[in-house]
Amino acid sequence: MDKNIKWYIEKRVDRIHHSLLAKQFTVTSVQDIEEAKDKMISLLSSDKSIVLGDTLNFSSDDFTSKLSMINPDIIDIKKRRELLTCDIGIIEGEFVTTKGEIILACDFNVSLGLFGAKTIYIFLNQNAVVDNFPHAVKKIRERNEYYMERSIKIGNHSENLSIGMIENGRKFEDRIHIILYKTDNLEL
Amino acid sequence: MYKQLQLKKMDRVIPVLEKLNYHIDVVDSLEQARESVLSKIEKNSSISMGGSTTLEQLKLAETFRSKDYNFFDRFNQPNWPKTVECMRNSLLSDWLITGTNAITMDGILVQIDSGANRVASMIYGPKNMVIVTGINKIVDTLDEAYARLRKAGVLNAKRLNHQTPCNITGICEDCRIKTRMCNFMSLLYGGKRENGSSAIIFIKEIIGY
Repeated sequence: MDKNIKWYIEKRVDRIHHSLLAKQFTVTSVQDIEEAKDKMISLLSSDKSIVLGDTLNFSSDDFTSKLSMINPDIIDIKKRRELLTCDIGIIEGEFVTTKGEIILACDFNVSLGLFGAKTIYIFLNQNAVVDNFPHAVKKIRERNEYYMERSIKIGNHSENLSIGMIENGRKFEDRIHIILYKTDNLEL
Repeated sequence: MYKQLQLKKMDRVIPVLEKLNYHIDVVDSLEQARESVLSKIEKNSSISMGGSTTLEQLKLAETFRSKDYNFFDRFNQPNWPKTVECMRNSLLSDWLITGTNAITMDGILVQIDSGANRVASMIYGPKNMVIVTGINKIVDTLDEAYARLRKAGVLNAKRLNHQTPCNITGICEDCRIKTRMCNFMSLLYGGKRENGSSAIIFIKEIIGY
């Protein structure tokens, strides 16, 4: 990778990390998606009710089988609604704004992330940075087909697009935890 | 003049919303809106309500507190942790009765929340949803919706006496106060629900924030 691009990206990630902390989210930065999964697994225990939201990036067999060993309900699509108010929710965030606002998409993820789970872990790709909320909305609408496909693959047949924004982590202290992971696929 | 313009907008947005799977009722008064809400809900249903000046005027909470309903009474809890617990449990109710902050002409519902229970439950959780709204919530675009939200946040902070800068200055100060009215936002693009239906009741009046 071009060293200047690498420098630019690293600076941007530093700023995002700082913005998220300033919004009182708990933030953990990891090297890649595999480390993000391992980190997540290490934080779970079988005495808590847990659910995994709609995700393709975190639906690999190795990860879901490890989750199932902790609690088989985690990935049971039929139990999703009753697990909306579970102890721990795990979801994939769509975007973070430069001010540190978290953007979520699609019904279950939005509801679970905004309020449903008592504690929520949000995986965020370091590249998923947008200028502001309207920019995120535009990008999500452009990706609508992807979200519909994702829902169908997972077995959630909702056809509604929905978008949620978490402005800060202050309202419910220590509820929202961000796992910020790096990818090789860097975008400016 | 403003009311006439908004009524015309309502006529134009209704077919858009119907295509997006909302059942629409149009009523003339608060009393008719109240009747419309109650006619949709079976006795013994579990019910949650979002905080809303429009709903306050309908005096539905008083009715839902009767033995005929199983009401998640988040307005009547002894302390904040119990209120949060009640709001969280109400995500699994049979019916959500709520207002909204803005409806765009292409049918997007936009709302903010201090605590997130309302904006979350409008997206997913309660089986059925009834939204009661005045015609003043109809806006042309998302940008207008965002502008409307900033005003609604200020007015709700004043109404609920949240200790925010906007409660004093009358304008959004983009504050870092925990009790700000705009900690959370949601956009809803359609009325389909996994286990039920969505309805919007338009009151042909300027009502609520």
